[in-house]
Amino acid sequence: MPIAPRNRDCVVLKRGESITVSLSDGLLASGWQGGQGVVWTAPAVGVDEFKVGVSDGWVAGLLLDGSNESGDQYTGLTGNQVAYGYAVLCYGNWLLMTRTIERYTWASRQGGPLVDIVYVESAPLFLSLEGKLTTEDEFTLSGDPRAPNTSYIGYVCQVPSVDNDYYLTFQMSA
Amino acid sequence: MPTVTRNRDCVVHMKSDSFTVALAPSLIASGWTGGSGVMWSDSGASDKFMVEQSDGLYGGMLLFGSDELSDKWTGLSDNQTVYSFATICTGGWVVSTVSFETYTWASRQAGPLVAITYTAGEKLYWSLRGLYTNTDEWSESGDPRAPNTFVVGRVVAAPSVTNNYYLTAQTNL
Repeated sequence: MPIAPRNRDCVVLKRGESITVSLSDGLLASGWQGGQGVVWTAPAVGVDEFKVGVSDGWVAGLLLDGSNESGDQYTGLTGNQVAYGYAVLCYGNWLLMTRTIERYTWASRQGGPLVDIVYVESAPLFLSLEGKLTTEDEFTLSGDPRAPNTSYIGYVCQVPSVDNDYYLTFQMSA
Repeated sequence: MPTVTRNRDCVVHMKSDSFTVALAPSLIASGWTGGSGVMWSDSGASDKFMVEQSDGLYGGMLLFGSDELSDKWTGLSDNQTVYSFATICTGGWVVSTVSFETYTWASRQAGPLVAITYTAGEKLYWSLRGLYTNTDEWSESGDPRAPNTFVVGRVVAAPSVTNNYYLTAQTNL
């Protein structure tokens, strides 16, 4: 039975580094879950700011809060990040629980049937081509010319199960 | 137009870990700019944690330069070189710095100089003289330790007129 309250997309057990970053137009348009992986991206010409977009495997860090989480509804945080175009980027050494993970293998997501990824404690984690945590190197699997992906983002601490509301707990090292 | 004040060699946007280290005689003799990469060095018979200029390996980066304009006529003038100690930065910092390679390793050997193009998100290494670069100078120079897999950070923002031609980096030291 879960004993830790998991009431957000990304639950913090131990803090690491964080900084406020500007968000790309793509990210603002699509929205995101807490724990979404992002990568540094060029700001608009003439603008002196630090901007991130959705990761496709490279790592700047994770966005702490989702763009439209139920925990933020009817509070001053409703729509806050999207309205201002800014969010909190987590990097460094965090201990986090999140549900923003790839559930199915890259291969099975291409043509089905869907095959669950089996997470194992201490396994290294990457970001997928959609910026979610995974144990698979999707650069190699997809034939991306940047393969292999050597940008580890952390290690599995506790695998998703009914005992933890299917959250992945991981130690971030990015 | 730059909106962040960049008045030192290495401007801190987000702090991480720091430590005081002894400086190798070679580093004191040569001087350094703030944000320069250093690696651990043998301190001989003394029980000190000593660093020297990085040649691709890392211990961290030195926060302040040895002779920065902003330190003139203050108590910090030559402070580090006189006492042989400096502040090393490790962990995950976000900084804007002038301590990066402007030209490719190959073009620095014989010219004409070819500018390096930095791109947001790409990996950073230390060059053979301890400056940020996006290329593996061990491989380019035929260093037997090649390839250099010691990634020291990521490009946050490439140098441009918008940021006074500083490189903004997220360190991973």
